[in-house]
Amino acid sequence: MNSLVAHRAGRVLVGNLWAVAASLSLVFFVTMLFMGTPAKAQSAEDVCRATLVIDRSGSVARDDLTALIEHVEDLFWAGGIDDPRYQLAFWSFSSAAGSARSGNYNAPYHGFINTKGALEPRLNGPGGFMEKLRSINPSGATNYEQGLAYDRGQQNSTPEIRSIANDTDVFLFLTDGVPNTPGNGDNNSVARQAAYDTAAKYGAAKPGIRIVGGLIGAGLDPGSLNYMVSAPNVAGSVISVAGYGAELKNALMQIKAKCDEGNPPNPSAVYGLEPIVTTDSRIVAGSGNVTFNYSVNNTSGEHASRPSSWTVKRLLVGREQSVVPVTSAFANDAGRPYRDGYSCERLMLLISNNGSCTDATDGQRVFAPGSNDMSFDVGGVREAVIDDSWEAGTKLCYVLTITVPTNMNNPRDRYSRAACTTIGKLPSVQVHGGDIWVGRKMAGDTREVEGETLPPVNIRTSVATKSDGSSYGSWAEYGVFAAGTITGFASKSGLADPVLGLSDWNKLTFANTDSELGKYVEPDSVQNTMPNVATAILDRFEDSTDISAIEELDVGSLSSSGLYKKPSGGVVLSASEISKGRSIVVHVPEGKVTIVGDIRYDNGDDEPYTSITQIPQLVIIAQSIDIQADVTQVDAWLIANGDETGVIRTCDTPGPLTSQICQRPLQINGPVMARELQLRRTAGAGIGGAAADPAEIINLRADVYLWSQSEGRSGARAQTTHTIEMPPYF
Amino acid sequence: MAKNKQKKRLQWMADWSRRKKIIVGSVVAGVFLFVAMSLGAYIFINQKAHVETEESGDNSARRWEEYKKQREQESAVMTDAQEALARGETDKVDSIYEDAVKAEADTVRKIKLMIDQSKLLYGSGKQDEAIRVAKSAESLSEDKYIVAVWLARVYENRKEYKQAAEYYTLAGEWAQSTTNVSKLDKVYYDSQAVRVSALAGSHE
Repeated sequence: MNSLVAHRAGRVLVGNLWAVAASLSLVFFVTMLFMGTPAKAQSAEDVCRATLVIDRSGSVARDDLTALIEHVEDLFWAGGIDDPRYQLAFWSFSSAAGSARSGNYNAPYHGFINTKGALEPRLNGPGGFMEKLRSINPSGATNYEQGLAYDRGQQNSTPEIRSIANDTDVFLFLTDGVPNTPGNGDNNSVARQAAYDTAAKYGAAKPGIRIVGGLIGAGLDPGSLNYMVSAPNVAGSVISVAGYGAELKNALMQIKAKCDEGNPPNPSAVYGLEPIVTTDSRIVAGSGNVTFNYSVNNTSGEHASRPSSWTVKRLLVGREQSVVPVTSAFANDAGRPYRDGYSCERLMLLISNNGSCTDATDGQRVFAPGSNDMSFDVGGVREAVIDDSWEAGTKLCYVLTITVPTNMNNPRDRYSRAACTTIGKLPSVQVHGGDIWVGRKMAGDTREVEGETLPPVNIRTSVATKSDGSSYGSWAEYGVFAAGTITGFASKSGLADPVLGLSDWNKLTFANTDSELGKYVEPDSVQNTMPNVATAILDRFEDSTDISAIEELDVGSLSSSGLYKKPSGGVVLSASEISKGRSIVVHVPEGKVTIVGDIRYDNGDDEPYTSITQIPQLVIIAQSIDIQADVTQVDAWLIANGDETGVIRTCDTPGPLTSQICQRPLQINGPVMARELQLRRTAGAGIGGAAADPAEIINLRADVYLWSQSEGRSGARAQTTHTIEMPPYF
Repeated sequence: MAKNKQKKRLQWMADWSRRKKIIVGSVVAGVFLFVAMSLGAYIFINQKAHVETEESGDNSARRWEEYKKQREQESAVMTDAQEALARGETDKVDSIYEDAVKAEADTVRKIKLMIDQSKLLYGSGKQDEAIRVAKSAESLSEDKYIVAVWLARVYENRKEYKQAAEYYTLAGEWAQSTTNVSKLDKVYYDSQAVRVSALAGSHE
C-alpha cells in the first residue's frame, strides 16, 4: 500500500468521481502493531530513554515529515523537554523485504542523546540526530513488526538497533497507516499478530515498558494499534493524532509524561547541592568594594548534577535591623547552613520586612562532585560596589539559591545562609603636632617589677579604599613608633591626602618588622619607658588641695592654680572654661576621672595673652579617664597611669558601637599618655567630602610646649656677689 | 378490407423495423458517444490531475531539498558553537554567530541563525542575553513568526506568562508565514496564548 498515491488521490478527488472511488479504495493509514521486545530492566542511571518510532512509509508527505522534524527538534529547547534526564533516540520504519533482519531497514539510526540541546553537540553535528532525522526518505508499505525492530519473529541484528531497543524505557510509535505486511491487506491478522507478539517480547524483557501508539490521521481504525499495545507486561496506550500540526506536537510531549510515570530516580545517582556565600568584609565604607565568594558543594562523591538553575539574591537590610536571622541563625533542622522551600518573601519576614530582596543574577550549570567555585558564573556580583548613598549601618547581604538542589523534584528553592557586610564607617584618628608611640611602658609599671616581658605591641588601623582608588584612614603628623608592626596607620600625614599611595604612608614610621627598613629596636618591647611626666609635674607642688569631698568638679570655677588631689575614689569633671593664667593639676591616683562636658581654655580671643604665664593649662593624672559621648573638646593633658587600669576611653558608652553611638567627634588638645587608649568615637568617615573626617583628633599644640617651658623655668638663679681680677700668668 | 388491413400491418412492421433500427442505432450511438465523452473527460481530468500532482510533487520535493540544505547549514554553525560551549568558550559562541549572521545575505536565514544563537545562550543559562539576541532579530523583518514562537517559549519557561501570551498571539498572527513549516496554525497559537494567560492570572 502506497500512501503517497493515496495522498495524491485525495487531491484528485475534488474533481473526479472515478478518482474518488479509486482513492477510497486506497485509503489506509494507520494502526499499530503490537509487539514485544527483549529489553533489559530499568535504566541504570537516573534517566529515561525514549525511542521515537517514525513511520516513513510512502504515505507520509514531505511537508508532513518537515513538520514532524520541526516538532522533534523543538523537544531539545526551551518549551520542549529540554532536560538531560530525558534521552531520545529514533528510528524509522516502513516495510522492507530481504534485509529486514540484519540490514539497516530502520535507517537512519544512532544512539540516545540527551534532550538538553545546548549541551548535546551530537544533536546537530555531522551524522548527528537532526541530520539523520532529515535523511528519512518516505517509501514502502507499513509493517508494525519491523517498526519494533523485528522481522518475522527475529530481532534486527544491527548492534545500534539492538542497543537502542534494549535500553528503551518508552516507545512512541508514530504511524499514519494500519499494518498491511506481513500478510495481505490492511489490518490483516498476520500483520496484527506479528506486532502483538513483538510487543509482548519487549514486555517480557522489561515488564512495564511503556509503548504509546500514535495514530496520525482522521478516521483511521486503531484496532491493530490497540491490539499491539495490549500485549502482556506492556504499559500501553494509544493516542489519536489528527494531524502533523498541534496534535503531533502534543503527542511528542507525551514522552516526558510517560517517562515521569515510571522512572523513579535511581539512588545511585543521588546528589545534593549546598549553596554557599561568604565574605571576609564585615564592614565596608561607602563607595568601597566587597568581595563575596560563591560556591556550590555537590555532596555526591561521583555524580555530577543535572543542569541546575541558580540565582543570587541581594538583600538590603535596614540600619536598625539585625541580620542574625538570615546569617548565623539561618540553618535547617540538621544544622546545615541553608533552608529549602525558601523565597524572597520568607527572607523578608525574617528581617521584619525592613529592607528589600531582589535578583542580582542567575544562570544554570552542572555541578561536579565536590566543591564548585562560581566566581565566573556570578560575574560582577562577586565584587559588590557599595552605593555611597546607603546609610551607614545598612547591611548588604547576598544569598545563593538553587531551584532544584537534588536529583529529586523535591525539595526546591534551596537558599544559602546570607553573607552580609555592614555599610558604615571605618572611624579614624589623627594626631596633630606630634608623634604616636605604642608599646612603651609606664614608669613604675608593676609588671616590669615582676619581671614579665610585655609582648610587642602593634598598631593596626583600618583603611577605607573607595571605588575611585582614594584611601582614608588614621595618621599622625610626625612619627609613628611601635614595638611590633604598624598596619594602616600613616606617619608624616601620609593619609591626609587620600590620593597618596602606600609608599607615602610610612615616611616616618618606625616598626619592628622582620627584614624591613625601620626596625629600630629589639622587639621584646623593653625598649624604654615613657617620660615620667606625671611625677615631674606632681613633684613641683609641695602642697595640694584635697578634693575628697567633691564628686563633680568644675575646674573653671577653681579660684587658683595648683594641685587638686582626690586620694581615693573618682571625680567627675563638668563642662568648664579655664581662665587665663590658671594652671590646674587634677590628681586622682586611685580613681577614675570622668569628663562629662567640654573643657576649654580661654584662648585669648577676647583679651589676648600678655605673657607666657597667662597660658592656661589643665593636667589630669588619674588611674583611668573616661570621656562621655557628648563631649567634643577636652583641652587638657590626659595621663592615665594607674597600675590596675591606666585606660583612657574617648567614649564611655558601653556595648557595641554603631554609627549612632559615640557618634560625635572629639578633639583633645594636649598630650595623651595611657597604658591603654580606647578610641571609641564613631564620628567622621562620612560620605563624599566627609570621608576624611576623623572621629578623634589629638592635637599637641604649641601652648603645651610654651606652658611647659614656662612652668619648668626656675625662679632661682646664681647671683654674682664677688669678683676678683687675677694677674696674668706667664 | 382485410387485404388493406394486411397491407397496413405489413407497412407498420416495415416502419417499426426501420424505427427500431433507428432507435437502437441512436441508443447505441448515444451510449457510444456518452462513453467516448466520458472517457475523454476522464482522460482529460485525470491527465490534468496528474499534471497538477506532478507539479505539486516537484514543488514538495524542491521545498524538501531546500529545507534540508538550509538546516544542514544552520546545523554546521550550531555545531561549532556547541563545541565552543562544551570547551567553556562562551564568548566564542557569540563570535561564531556574529560572523555567520554577517556573512548571510538572506534576512530569514539571519533571523534563524540569531534564534539558534539565542537557543544556545538560553540553554547555557544566559537567559537575559538570549532574550536580547532574539529581540534584536525581531527587528530584522516584518515577518515575526520565527522570533515570536521562540520568545513565547522562552517567556513561558521563565514563567513570564504575560509576555509569553503576547508572543503566542503574535505567532498566531504570523502563522501564515512561509517560514512556518510546522503546520501549527493560528488556532493553536491562540490557544497557547489563552493557556499562558490563565497561568499569568493564577500567578498574580
